[in-house]
Amino acid sequence: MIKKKTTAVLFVLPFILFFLMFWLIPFLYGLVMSLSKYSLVKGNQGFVGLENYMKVLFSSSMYNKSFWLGMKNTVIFVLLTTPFLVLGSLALALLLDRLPDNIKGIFRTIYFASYAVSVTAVAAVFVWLMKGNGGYLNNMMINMGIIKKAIPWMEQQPFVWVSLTVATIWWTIGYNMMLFVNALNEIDTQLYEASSIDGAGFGTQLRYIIFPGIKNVFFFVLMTTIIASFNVYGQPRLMTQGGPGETTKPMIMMITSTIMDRNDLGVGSAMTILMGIVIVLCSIGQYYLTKEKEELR
Amino acid sequence: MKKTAAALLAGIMAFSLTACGGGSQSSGTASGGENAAQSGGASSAGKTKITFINGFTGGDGPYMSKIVDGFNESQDQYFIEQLQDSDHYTKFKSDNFDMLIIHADWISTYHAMGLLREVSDLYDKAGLSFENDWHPITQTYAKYDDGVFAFPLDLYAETFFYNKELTETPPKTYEDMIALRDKLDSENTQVYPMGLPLTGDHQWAWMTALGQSGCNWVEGEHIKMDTEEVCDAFMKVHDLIYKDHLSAAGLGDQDHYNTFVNESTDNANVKSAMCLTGPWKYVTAKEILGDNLGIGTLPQIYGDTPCVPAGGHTFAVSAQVSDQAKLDGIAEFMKYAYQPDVMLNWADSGQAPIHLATMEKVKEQPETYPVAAVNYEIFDNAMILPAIYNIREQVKYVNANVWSLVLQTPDLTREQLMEELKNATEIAVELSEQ
Repeated sequence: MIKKKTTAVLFVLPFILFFLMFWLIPFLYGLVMSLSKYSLVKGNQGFVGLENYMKVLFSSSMYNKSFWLGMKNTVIFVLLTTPFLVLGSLALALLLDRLPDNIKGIFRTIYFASYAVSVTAVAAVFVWLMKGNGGYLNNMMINMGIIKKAIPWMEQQPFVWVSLTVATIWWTIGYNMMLFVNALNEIDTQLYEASSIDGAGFGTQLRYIIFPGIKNVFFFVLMTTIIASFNVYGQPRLMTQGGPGETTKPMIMMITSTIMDRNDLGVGSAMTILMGIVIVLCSIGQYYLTKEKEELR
Repeated sequence: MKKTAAALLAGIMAFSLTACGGGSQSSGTASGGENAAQSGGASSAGKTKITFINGFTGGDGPYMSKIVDGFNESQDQYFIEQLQDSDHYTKFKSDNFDMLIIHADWISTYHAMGLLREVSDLYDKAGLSFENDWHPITQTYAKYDDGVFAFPLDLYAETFFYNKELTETPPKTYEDMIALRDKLDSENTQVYPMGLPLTGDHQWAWMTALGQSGCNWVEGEHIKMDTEEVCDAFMKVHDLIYKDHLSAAGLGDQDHYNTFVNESTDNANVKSAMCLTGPWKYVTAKEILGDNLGIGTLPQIYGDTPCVPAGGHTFAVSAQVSDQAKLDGIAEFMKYAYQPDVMLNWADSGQAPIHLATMEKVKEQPETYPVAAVNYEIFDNAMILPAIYNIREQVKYVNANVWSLVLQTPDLTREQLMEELKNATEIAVELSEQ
C-alpha cells in the first residue's frame, strides 16, 4: 500500500514541482509586485498597498487611460473574432462531416494547416496581402475595376479591425474545427438515420441531435476562444504595432509597454492581475450559464 | 549497425560542437537567440574579459565586429566579448554587461537611472579629448552636469533622396515642391513629390516640421506640445497632404520609402519623387534606382529654420564596472577604436563617424562615402531628441496618436489637434516626474 502511494506521489511530483515553479510562485510573486512600488531598473522600492490598483482603475494617470483603452480594444477584438471562431469553425466541421469519406481528410488537413503556421509568418503574409498602397488585395481589386481607390486595410479604422479579424480567423479556425469534427464523430449516426425517416431536416437535426451531442465541446471551445482572444498580442503587435493611433493596442501590449518601456513592474503587475480577474469572471459566468441550462434540461 | 549509427551521430555532434565553439573565426557564432551573434576572434585565455553588447544585428554588425576583432587580435592583456542582439537594451538592463552601444537619445534616461558610468578618466587614459576630438553636437547628449557618459560613435541624420528621373534638380523649398507636383500631375498620375507614412521614420517627419518651423517644444524636463506654434506646425503637415497634395493621403508603414522605390508601372500604386529617411536606406535605394538616385540636403518644407532630425550611436560603460583591469581595458579599446584608420571601418558600414579626425578622412573620399559626405554638411543643423529623462517614452504619444490624427483626418480642426497635443503633454509631464 505504501509502495503504491509512493509511486503515485512520484508520478504527481513533476507536475506539482512545475506547477509551483512556473505558476503558483510566479503568480504570488506577481501579486506581491502589484502591491509594491517596483521598478524594472531600481527594483522593489517598498510596499504601497492597493495604490497601483487605484492608479490603474480610478486615477487620472496615463496608466488608467492605458488600462481602459487596452481593455476596450481587447473586448472589441473578442467580440469581433469569437463568433466567427466558434460558429464558423462549427460550420466548417459540419461541412466536413457531410463530405464523402475519401476527401474528408484532404479538406481537414487544408483547414487545419494554417494553425501550424507561426504568427510571424501569418502577420507577414497578411500585411503583404492587405497593405493599403501596393497590397495584393487592393491591386487585384483596382485592376479588376472593383474599386477605384485603394482601401486602407492596414492603415485606417474600421478596416484595420477587419484585417486583424480575418487574419486571426484564418490562422486559428482550424483548431476549433478539429475539436468540433471529433465531437461530431461521437454522435451516433443511427440518430441521423432515424430522424431522417421521421422527416427531420438539417435544422431540426442541428437543434435536437447535433447541438445536444456537442454541447460540452461547444462550451469548451467558446471558453478557450474567449480566453485566447483576451490574450491577443502577436497579430496586432506584428501587423499594426497597435495602430493607427492606439486603436488596436490590446491589454497585453499595454502591460508590456508599462513594464518594459515605462519600467513600472508594480503597475504592470496590477494590470496583469486585473486582466486575470476579468478572464476568470468571464469563465465563471459562462460556467454558470452552462450549468443552469443543464439543470433546466 | 547500431554501433555505426551511434558513431555517425557522435561524429555529427562533435562536428557541430566544433563549429559552435571554435574560436578561429572572427564573428557570427550564433548565441542568445536568432537575432544574436557573438564575436570571438582571438583567444581570451589569460586575458581580462570585457563584455560588450550592441544592437547591430543588421548590415552594420560585421563592421563593428571587425573593429572588436581587430582590437582582440592586437591585444595580449584584454579581450572584448561581443554580443550583437536586437533586444540589447533589455539584456543590458537585466544582465551584467560591462559596455554597450547606446543611442544618443537614450543616454539622458540611462544617465538619470544611474545605469552609466562617468568616463572622463577613461578619456584621459585613452589619450582622447571629449571637447576637442568630437563634433560639438556630441556635447548636447553625451555630457551632463556630473561629467561625460559616452564615447560618441556616429551621427545619422535624416537624409534626402530624390529620383533624378522624376526631378532633375532636387526641390529646395515648399514652392519648388508645389511646382514639382504640377509637373508630375500628381492627382492624375499618382506620382507625388513625397510620401508621409503612418509609421516608419514618422518621428523624424514631425520633428522636421517642428524644427523647421522654429518651434520650442521642450519645457524643463518634459516635452510641451500644447502650444499654438506646435499646433501650427502640425497643421502645415496636414495642409501638405490635404490642401496642397504634395503627399498622397492614407499611406501606411514605410510608404515614404516604398513609394519612392516603387517600380510598378500602373496607376494602382502611389509613387513619390523624393524621400526623407535614414542613411541606411541608401544601399537598397541605389540597387533599385541605380544612377537615378540623387542625394541632397533637406529642403526647407515647413519654414526657414534649418533643422535636420538626427540620432547617433555611442559607446557607454555600465555603472557596475569597478574592476580597474576592466576599466583599463575599456580605455585601451577606445584608444584603439578611435584611430582614424580603424574608425573608417565604421564609415564602411554606411554610418557617418563623428570623431573629427575620422571625419576628415571620410570627407577626402566623397565617392567612397557618399551618404556620410552629405550628412557631414548638415551636422551643424542636426536636431537630436532633447536630452531629458524618458524622452523616447515621452514622444510615443505624439508618434502614435497625434501623428495618425494629422495624417488620417481630412477635416482636421485645430481644436481636435490641440486636444491630442494636450494629452501628449500631460503624459510627458507624468513620465518626467517618475
